[in-house]
Amino acid sequence: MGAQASSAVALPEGALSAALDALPYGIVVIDQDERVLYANQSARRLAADDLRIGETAEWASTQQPSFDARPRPGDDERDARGSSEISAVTVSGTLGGMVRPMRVRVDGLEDALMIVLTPLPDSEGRGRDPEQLLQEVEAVSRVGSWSWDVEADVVTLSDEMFRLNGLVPQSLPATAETVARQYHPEDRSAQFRLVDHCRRTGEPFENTHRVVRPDGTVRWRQARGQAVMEDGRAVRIYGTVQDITERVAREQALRGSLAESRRLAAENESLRHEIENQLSEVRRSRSRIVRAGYETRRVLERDLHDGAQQRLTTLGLIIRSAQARLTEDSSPALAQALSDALAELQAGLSELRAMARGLHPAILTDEGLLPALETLVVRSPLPAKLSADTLARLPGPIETTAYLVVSEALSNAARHGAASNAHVTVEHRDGTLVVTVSDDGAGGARIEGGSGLRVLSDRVAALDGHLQVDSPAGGGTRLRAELPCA
Amino acid sequence: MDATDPAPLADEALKAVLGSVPQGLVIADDRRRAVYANRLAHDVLGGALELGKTVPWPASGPDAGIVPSVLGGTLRATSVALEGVDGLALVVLTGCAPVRQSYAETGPDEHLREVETIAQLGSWSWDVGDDAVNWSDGLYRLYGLAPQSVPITFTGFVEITPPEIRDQVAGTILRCAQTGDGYTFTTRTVEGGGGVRWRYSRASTVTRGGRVTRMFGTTQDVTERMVNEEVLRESVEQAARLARENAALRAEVEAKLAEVRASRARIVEAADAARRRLERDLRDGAQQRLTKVGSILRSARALLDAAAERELAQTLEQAIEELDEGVDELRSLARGLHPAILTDEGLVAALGALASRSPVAVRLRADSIVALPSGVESAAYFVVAEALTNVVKHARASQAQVTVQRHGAGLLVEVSDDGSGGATLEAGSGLRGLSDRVEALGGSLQLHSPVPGGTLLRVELPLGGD
Amino acid sequence: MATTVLIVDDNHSFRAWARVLLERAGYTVAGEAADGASAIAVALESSPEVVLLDVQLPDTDGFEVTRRLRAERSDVAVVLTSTREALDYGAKLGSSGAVGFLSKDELSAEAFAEVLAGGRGSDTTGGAAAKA
Repeated sequence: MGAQASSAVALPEGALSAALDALPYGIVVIDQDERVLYANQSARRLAADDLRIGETAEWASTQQPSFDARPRPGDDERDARGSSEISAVTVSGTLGGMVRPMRVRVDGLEDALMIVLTPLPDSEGRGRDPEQLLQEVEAVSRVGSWSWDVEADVVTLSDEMFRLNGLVPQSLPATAETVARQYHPEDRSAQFRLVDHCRRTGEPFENTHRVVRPDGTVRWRQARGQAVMEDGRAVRIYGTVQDITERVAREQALRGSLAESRRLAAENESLRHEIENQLSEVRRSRSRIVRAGYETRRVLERDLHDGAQQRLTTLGLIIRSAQARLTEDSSPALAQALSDALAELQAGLSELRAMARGLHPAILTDEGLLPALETLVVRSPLPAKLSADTLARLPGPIETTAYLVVSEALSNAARHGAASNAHVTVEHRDGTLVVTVSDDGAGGARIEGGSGLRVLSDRVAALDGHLQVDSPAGGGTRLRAELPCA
Repeated sequence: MDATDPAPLADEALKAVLGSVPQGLVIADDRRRAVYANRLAHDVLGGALELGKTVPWPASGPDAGIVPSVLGGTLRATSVALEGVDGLALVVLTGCAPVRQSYAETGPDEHLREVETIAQLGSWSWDVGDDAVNWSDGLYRLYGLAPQSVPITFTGFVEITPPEIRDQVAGTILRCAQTGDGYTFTTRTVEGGGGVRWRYSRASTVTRGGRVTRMFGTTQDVTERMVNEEVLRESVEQAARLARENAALRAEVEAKLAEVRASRARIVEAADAARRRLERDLRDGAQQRLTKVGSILRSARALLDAAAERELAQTLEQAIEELDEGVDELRSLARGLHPAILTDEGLVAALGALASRSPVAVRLRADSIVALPSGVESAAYFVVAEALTNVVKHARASQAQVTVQRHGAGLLVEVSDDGSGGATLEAGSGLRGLSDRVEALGGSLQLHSPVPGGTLLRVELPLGGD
Repeated sequence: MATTVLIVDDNHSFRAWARVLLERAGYTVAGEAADGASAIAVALESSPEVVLLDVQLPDTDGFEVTRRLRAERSDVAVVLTSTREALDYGAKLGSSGAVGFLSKDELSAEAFAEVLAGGRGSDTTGGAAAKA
């Protein structure tokens, strides 16, 4: 803003200092820690005990503890009698009522700040002088007032108005131009329109706008104004101005916070949906894999049975027919060969049968879960009992999974042992198939343990079910599978 | 502090300070030439002021010391001698537009009332000497009383202060009276009936000889702006809460996704392992036994005199035939599970075998690839097998190409043909299941099969640490 | 007179070789059938004394066929067979009304005779008692 201070002639030593001392108001310079670096003569006179070079000037601090503006819980409860809270109290030192400090940036001194101590009119003996009171009220409350005599086109600005604008009171002529140049360029025309609107319609106004002080600092203001109308025309417009920079800063921070939170919330929301979609997809994929797996095994078992097993069974009959053709004249070696072949064949067939059963017990497909479980129980090396009511047929994958649960549980119990018996129960209730297998063995089974329970639990989950293992060390094992099947 | 203490700032700093004083300042010599002007002086005088030239205000006459401002209006230049400096004076510029003209129409009482009304302000003063407390009309209204309706004393004021804050307020005022320290505080009152009212209070003192002679202060109703802030804060908190909740929900779903992915991968791996185990069991078990049966039967046939025991010989022949069929069935089953050649010689050799068996000409281009993880190897093999099956069954193609190569951190397998296109990953198709399997391994499968023709199947499988 | 046997199985190789085995052992194969419906028809028509009956049939299962056969002709002896083991059928064998069970790879002329006589293979089905 404007030209730099300059001098054509080198000033004699002490001239600068003398010039500052000649000012009728205090000039104090403080550093970033609010320690006093310099004070002119007027400042030393005004501030006396409160001013020591090198020490902190407490009165210089403008920090106010913020009083949390947020609805308190229980506000409604206090309806009947009301209640109050008070913020922390800021004590402002004895610089007190005679002086109104102004903070001004110094062009060329980045780490220091100038404080101008403008004295209020001397109140000695004037007590309740209204002029005095007005000055005091404005200075204490930091509210400035202005007035525009429309007819005479005369503008009046109170001392506090000047101070709020970072100027020594009445240091500029009170003109419309003075007022105009203080506004932030972006807010200027809006302010004029506002005042003009008030002039034309008489409507009071209240708004916020920015000003740029001579030292370059930008401040936020709240301005209020009213008109005095005569014959439908405004003859006078007057109002007040207050600095609300801190409040605006807080508000902007809050709004920023709000926007950020909202953005985050929305982002997370949409990400979550995306992930949920992926989750559905992966669940479906997993379910397909399990079902396809069962189907593959079923088909394999069928192929094994209808192909190799059939043929080899027939081979057995053929070899027996050959054996039936043997006579006393036939070579004993031949008889032995046939007998060996048959033995080897039967061993092979037996293996294939076990393999087929391991792939997929045909009885599960043909007869259903309970008959299949009965065969498991009968074959179990560990004595086992099956308790179940009659069961209607259920979808293949459900029956297969239930079968696998029991199969795995029984084989674990037999293998890891120390169990003397096992109990299998099957219940179909409320659209859920519940299969439990309990044994009285050593316990300690865990789904993560890699005993096959984990993949089992994966398969159960793939069909939207749940596998639970209760197996305290030394306390037996209880497996419980729930499979939804409406 | 001694009034003669030297100010410790250097000249450069003092110059900066003087330059920034928020009032127009000029230093003139005794020939009325300007030798220095601060920034504001330049601002308000504009071009009228030139350093080294005479100052622009007349020295004498009715307009002595009056100079027009570039901002409109006029300024008065007032000289002040500089102590200890000869020949120079400080000139202070003040605005002298018709200040206070309007005041003549609006007296200070009225002015004060106006200010208090517009700004929702109330003020008070306390003359310690006469112990006289004075409240403005505005202050009465602020506390819900009719102006000047009740004579106010300190005690009276304390009594109307809400009980919860009475002690602090009273204490603050008393401390101020004793020490001369000014104060500010804010109060928040929930009135009976539920309305909230915020008030901002400031006070200052006038001291003489270390004693407080007067206290005065203002209280402003700042409810509207504070309530707005309250509402804003509430929104911020809600939004933050929502953001936290959403983040938690998302994390939950992410965790679930990872869990289900891991579960799927385990299932695929287990199925794979089971297939390989089965194939091995077949090979080492039943297939081996059958080989033995075969050799027994063959050597038994050799023992026979075919002519003499014709029926027996025939029976043995039929037995051997049946056995061979059975062995073939098993072998084909095993190959469907997990081809031996894949285990024994690796992916490229197994693909070569597939290619040579294919009725459609297949060109195989493969990097030499060793030591693939078995899950990846199987998946790659079966994908190619299925793709080639589809080529033969559906595509009406004349030839196909299979490429296998390392690609970044993974394996890239591509099968293309020049057939009729139109292949899809529909439910139930072999490719759908393989696609699931590939994805379960962390890979991807893409099918590009436009109807005019040509199909490209592209599978990427990661080879990262297993 | 040789015992007459009806062979019922949907696999023709099995039927052919079972016939060879049984005929070699002196049984008379009165007929063959590949499914339950024709099994009953042939049985009613030719009244075999024994029926070698596969449990797995395309149109029904051996238990149903046994029930119907014995409802018509309570003196017919049914020997059930299967590629599966007896364990796979459990109690169903005992209540089936069959005289015995042989899995297909156990089938030989001797085993067949044993089952009919109420020995081996009949223990799963209650054997002689069922025959009565």
